[in-house]
Amino acid sequence: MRELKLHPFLLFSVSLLLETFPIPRFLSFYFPSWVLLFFIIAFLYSTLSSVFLYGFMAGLFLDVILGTNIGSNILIFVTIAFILMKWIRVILQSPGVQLYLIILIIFSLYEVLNFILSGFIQISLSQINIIQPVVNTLWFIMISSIFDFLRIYKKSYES
Amino acid sequence: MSLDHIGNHKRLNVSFKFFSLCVVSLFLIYLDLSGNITSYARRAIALSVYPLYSIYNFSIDTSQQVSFYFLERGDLYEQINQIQAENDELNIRLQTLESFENENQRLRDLLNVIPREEINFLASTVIDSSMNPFEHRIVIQSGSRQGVAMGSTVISAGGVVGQVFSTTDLISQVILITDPDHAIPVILPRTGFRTIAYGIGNETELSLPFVTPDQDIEIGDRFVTSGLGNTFIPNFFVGEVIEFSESQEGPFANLRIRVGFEVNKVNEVLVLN
Repeated sequence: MRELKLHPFLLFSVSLLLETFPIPRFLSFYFPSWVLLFFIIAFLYSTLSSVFLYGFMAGLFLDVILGTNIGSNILIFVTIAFILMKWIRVILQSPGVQLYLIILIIFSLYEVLNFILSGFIQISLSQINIIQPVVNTLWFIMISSIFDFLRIYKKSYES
Repeated sequence: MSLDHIGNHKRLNVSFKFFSLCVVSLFLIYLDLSGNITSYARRAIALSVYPLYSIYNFSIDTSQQVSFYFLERGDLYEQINQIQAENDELNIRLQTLESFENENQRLRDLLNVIPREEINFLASTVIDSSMNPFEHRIVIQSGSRQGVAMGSTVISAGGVVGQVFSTTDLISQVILITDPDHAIPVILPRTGFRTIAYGIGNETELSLPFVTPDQDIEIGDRFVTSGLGNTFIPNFFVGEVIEFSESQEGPFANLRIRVGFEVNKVNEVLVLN
């Protein structure tokens, strides 16, 4: 999966750009958490050497953009980075459906952590968003398919 | 590449990194909750994100200019006529307002009331809105450099929109009055009845939960800011009563008001200082 060599900084910038783009409220349900999505994409498809540093920066910028307490998103992203590092072998060797299930679990974990931290430090989330992990996973499937296509195209071009 | 290959040393390294970053995150949360120590860091990082907002704003401006370019001449004439008519009407209203203002000033002078402070208006553009449905917040393209201060009242053509809750050099975040965490002191000018309106997460409505059913309130009554607590500047429109009925659950009535703005349609605001 890692042969595409996308620059992590580029992915990070794109994700921040998408995250700051305002969209109508009714559409927000159908859009993913771009920073998290591109964090996982960067982990799977690019030569991301410092996962923790990426996670730390992503969390920090997200805290500033969303106006949440500095540290809350950092903690979430660092936890997800740790899980990705721990599951690295499982994730990289999983075929399609299993991989998507693992990704769904990670996105669900993100929502749960978000909820716990929000309740803990009084950010106004009143319930866990159940649909968001599914939406995130569907977006991941779409975007990863594009990256897979690019990878195959690059391989065939090189050969 | 897997953890089996990188061995125990690396595995410990990963756990150590995770643990230390968790400690750093918790420390940052503690700092942010305990005071304004992290506000400088927040400002600095927000400045680095500012180009992203500028790109967005540029795209909006460009699309508006393009759509304006393609407007028919007839449509433009129609718009000009409409604006002219609105302007005439506002001028007439302004004349009445000025006479009221003078009269009010004379009465205040007679009573030796402390004169009202001058209100400064600052026009600003909305450049972002919170994507979380449980957080009604917007980002405006004005910051402390332009004179925006924490707690400043933000209004639009439809009345009070919210108040500034975080500001950096170039942008500010505004919590809307419809946010579930927000409360605003209001008054009904017709009767002088004061209460507090709470956001309920609904984009168009506020709830006034501590009002007894015997109050003289009618559908269509207009609540304005009372100015109590010195947070909001008084006499700005907040909302119109759409429901006032007895509640089966407790001693208080069901009272809901509709705000004068639509979250998704607020593009220009005024910040009052």
